Amino acid sequence: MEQTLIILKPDAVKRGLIGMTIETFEKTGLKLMAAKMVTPDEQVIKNHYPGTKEWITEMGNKTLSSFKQANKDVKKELGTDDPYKLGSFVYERLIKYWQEGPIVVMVFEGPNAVGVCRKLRGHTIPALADAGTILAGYSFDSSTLSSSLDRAVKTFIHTSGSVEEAEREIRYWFKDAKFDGYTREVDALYLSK
Amino acid sequence: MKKQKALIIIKPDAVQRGLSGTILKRFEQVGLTVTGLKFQKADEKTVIAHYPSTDVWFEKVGKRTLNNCQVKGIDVKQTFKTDDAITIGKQVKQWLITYFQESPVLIAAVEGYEVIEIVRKLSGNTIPVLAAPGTIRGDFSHDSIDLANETCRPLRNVIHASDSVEDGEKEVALWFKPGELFSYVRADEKIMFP
Repeated sequence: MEQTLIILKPDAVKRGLIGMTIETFEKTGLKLMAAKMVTPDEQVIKNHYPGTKEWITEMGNKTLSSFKQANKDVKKELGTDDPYKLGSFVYERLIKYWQEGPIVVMVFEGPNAVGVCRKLRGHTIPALADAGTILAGYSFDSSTLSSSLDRAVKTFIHTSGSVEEAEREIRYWFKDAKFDGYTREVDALYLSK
Repeated sequence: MKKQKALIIIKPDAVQRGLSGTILKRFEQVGLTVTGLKFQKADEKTVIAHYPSTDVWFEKVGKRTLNNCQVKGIDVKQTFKTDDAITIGKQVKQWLITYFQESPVLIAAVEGYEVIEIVRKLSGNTIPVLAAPGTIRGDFSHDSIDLANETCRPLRNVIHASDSVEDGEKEVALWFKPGELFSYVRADEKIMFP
């Protein structure tokens, strides 16, 4: 059965949004399989991300395009317009963001778990998320606001982007942990012939 | 005033009904701080240690069961094959162990001022059919002693919440290792308690 990794970042924990997030995913019929509160150190957070040159450059390009969209001069504000350098700034800020307090790492399971959780969370950047998604309903943060304050966009829920990413991330955060399966009340209605 | 600790366990009946988030939300909503969280199948040794194993406790539980049965006119000897309070108490504990391990459970350590009073108030009467609406047990269950005894099982009462300040300390220490507990300030804490 498909599984996905969810991470609630420190701002979500401090706002008391753990229960709400679990509830949103649980209501679809997805099964909570694992959860833990942790304060990972810098290296653990760093390795959660692919961290390759391409990936860093891609993040820099995203920053470039959001500055362009907002009609702002990236060079004036961040001192460079080199995508790799910009990406590295974002990377550093992300790590700082994750260290603002404890985080909650979870695994959910069910048919199309990756897609269901992504859809409910909405666009990574709250300001761009569709109404009705968790990020849209609980945050006004945007790339321009965050860079004006010298911090990462507070995208307070991470959900795996693909089945492959989910597999890698679950292995990464839960090592070889075996999750105990169980039956949900909806299983007999939707998962049996 | 100092903050106190309490342990919350969202039990297998609630987990299987997909109520973990809904229930945890109520404790966050009231302003308590979740200082530890994990989801796992309860380890048998921990469940055994969670409930006392003294004859005093077995007798208390057994007597309560005997009393409940008497009030309801249930034949104790038929259900338990004995009317000895201690033996009945031991049997009830065995039921509880089985119930606890039916599926993984969501275990949370919470902290706050007068936390025991708050978690007890939010959870409601241990017997769901008697729990007031607005409480977790009152809103999410209507299980009763009669029903439970009729089918020889413990009450399925959705949640465990620590009973006293001492139990809160003890239970949090039993279910969580020191490295699994965190201290932080909630975003709204200074507004609630300046």
